[in-house]
Amino acid sequence: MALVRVISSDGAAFLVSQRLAKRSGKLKTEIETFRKSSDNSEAQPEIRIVTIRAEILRLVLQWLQQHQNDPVLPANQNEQDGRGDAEMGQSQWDRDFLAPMDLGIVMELILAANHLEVKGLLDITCKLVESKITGRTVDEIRTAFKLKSDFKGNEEEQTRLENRWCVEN
Amino acid sequence: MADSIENICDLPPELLEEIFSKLEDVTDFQSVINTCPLWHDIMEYRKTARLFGKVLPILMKVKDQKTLHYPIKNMLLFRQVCKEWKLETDRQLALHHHFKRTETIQRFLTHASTLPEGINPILGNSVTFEIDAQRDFEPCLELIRRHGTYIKTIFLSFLIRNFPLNELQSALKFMPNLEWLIVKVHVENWIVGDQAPVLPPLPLLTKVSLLTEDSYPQAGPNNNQLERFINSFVIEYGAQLQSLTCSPVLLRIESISNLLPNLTSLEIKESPYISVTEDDLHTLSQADWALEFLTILCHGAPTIECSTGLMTMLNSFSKTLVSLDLSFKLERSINPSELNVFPCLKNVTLRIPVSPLPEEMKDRVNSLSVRCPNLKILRIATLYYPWTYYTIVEYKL
Repeated sequence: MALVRVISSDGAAFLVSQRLAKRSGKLKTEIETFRKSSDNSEAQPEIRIVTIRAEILRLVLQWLQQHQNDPVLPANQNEQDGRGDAEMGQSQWDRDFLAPMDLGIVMELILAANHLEVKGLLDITCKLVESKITGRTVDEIRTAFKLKSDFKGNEEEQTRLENRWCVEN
Repeated sequence: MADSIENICDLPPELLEEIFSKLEDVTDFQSVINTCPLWHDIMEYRKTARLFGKVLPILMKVKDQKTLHYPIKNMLLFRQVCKEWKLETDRQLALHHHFKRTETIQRFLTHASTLPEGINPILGNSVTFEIDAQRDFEPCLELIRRHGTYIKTIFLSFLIRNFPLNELQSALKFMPNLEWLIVKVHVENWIVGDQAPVLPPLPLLTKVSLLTEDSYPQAGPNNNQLERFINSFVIEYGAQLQSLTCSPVLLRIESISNLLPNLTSLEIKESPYISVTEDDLHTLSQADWALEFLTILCHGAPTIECSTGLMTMLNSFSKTLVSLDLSFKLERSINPSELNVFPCLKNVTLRIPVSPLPEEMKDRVNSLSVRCPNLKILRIATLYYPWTYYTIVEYKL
């Protein structure tokens, strides 16, 4: 089985099968570039991902492993027919996978899935963030994202007023 | 000294936190949390605030594919959560929200007039106007007249026939806090007048982008028209400008070097009938500018030759240049002895016609990377007919 070493920003190496790695658009391109520039076709590619740390990279690879037999979705797939959601977004495994994560980790996963071009993972993580926002109050959002208001004096009231004409119309 | 600290990791976490909190750029923050688990844990509590700037555009893109637009309701919520979220949301709103028609502007003005005094109705400090009919200009001017003090960045795209420059002057008067002015015009549609127009003082303005277009040859008087148009900006704001985007005609203004003493970023954009000449390259090489960013973008096929003149021009900025983006014909290999050392140069993009083979191309530009010890990214964009298409090969060094 052909393998590839994927190395995180903080130096952890993950040895995965090329077949699995190629389900990430970015890793696929990197493996192909390595093949073209290497004289030895047996050489094992090594790919350094400088923007993703080990904890996040492990999660991405874990998700890929679970979904290795799903059909690969093109990055610009039009999902208006709604089928994409049913197939990719709603499995019990995905729900259990995301459930223990705090939103800081989910945001890092969004950045990682976007960078590595893993469409299915990007969809479910974005959907999770959306669900913590849409229809919520500002205070609920702050609690969910563990944020404190850092507006001073009347700045918060000002922002509310700036928004007013938009909200009312 | 027994107490000296040799490694940054030996610093106490509180001190590291203080240092990391000072990083303005989100990418730098990301690098910190990605460096090691300790640094991640120190800054973990800031992740949801700081990463939002990178996550929001992705959320908008993903949502976009399904519903075609991101709900404004959510954007308004984001503005109220905390300062960082507000800043990033306003940045995105400015990118995606354009004023185009009289009706939209008037609706905005009506709603804005219901707000109490001292409240900024613009949601941020950037506005874009895309005006293509004279009748739409009056409401645009009205908006600027009423709320111009909140505007720091304005993009005015005016594709109006026979539009007089003094109209623009009157708009600028109401934006005393303007930092970046972008104007896009069809030069032949403008009436600059015989007298050089007098633009109002804008003390905070440091960036100007004059995106002038022409659709037929600029013979005699029209070329003067363009030169006068550019000249009026250079005369009024030249001394304070750090960044300028402009037609090559800029370089034909007399003693242009002295008129822009603080320039650090220059982008020259060719148009269909105005290309960069050998004389322009000579003027550039004589200019007394400490340029950090230099871009020369071609329109259509690159016309600049890989000449001694080009090398002399590049060498004249060798001490300061950080980023270079250049369109030219790469007919031959560059001899390393023609080039100075560029100690600060980090990013280079070369846009060249497709003719040389990729391998040859690499050889031809190799000497460039030899002369740039700190080069991080070299991009070679190969342009091909009809010159709007190109492929980019990126070499990470």
